[in-house]
Amino acid sequence: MPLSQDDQVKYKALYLQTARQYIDELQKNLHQLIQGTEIDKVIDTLHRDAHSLKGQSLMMEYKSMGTISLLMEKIFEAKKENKSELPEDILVKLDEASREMSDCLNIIAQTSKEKNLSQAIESLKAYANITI
Amino acid sequence: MKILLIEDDAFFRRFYSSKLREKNIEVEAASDGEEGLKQLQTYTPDLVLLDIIMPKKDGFDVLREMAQLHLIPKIPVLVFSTLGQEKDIEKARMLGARGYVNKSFFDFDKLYARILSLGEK
Repeated sequence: MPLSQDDQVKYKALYLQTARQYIDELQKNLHQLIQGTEIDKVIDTLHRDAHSLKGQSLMMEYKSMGTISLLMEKIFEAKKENKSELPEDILVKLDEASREMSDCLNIIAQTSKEKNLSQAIESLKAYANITI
Repeated sequence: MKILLIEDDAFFRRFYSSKLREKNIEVEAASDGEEGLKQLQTYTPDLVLLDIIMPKKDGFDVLREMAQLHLIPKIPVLVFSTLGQEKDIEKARMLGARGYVNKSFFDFDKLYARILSLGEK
């Protein structure tokens, strides 16, 4: 059931605030991975952040933000479960995608509409091993 | 009716707490599994709404410890899930969860009916 218009307005500021925190943390942790730090705790946090961002974006009906977060979540989940690695090319794509998400939040703040994230979504699909 | 909401995401914690309180449901909230288990030592809810992916102790850890403490099946647990968590829901059921709520598709009437039916059993 779609969220009521009243609730969308009421919870938009909280969404933007928490989503920004998740994206900031995602970027910080991705940079750690790019610099060569690879510890389980960093992957766990990345997985959780992508998961939380997915849930709240879908609830607010920001579908592109939800989809891109789902792809990130699945990429980090596969790494957590030792089903795949995170070579530099994936990390670069994830970092680019996180910057697109950050821009998207700025656009949502101004217009309540999402930026077109289809290119970033396509660039992650190949790595996420899920069908959307 | 008393509910313990264990959810690390501040957005969902605030949203669901507020919606449940609007229906005169007493809500205590915990921001991770460890805090939730601590609250269960002194607070006996009629139902637990439990997120799965959380820091410190996740939803599976909470279910395991609740079972060890014989709080399951005494206190019914509904797990919060979102898109792509089918495996997690199955695992949670095996650990004693009574069902799940897709937290991204908010349907309060459905959730409320579910809560009432489980809380009354």
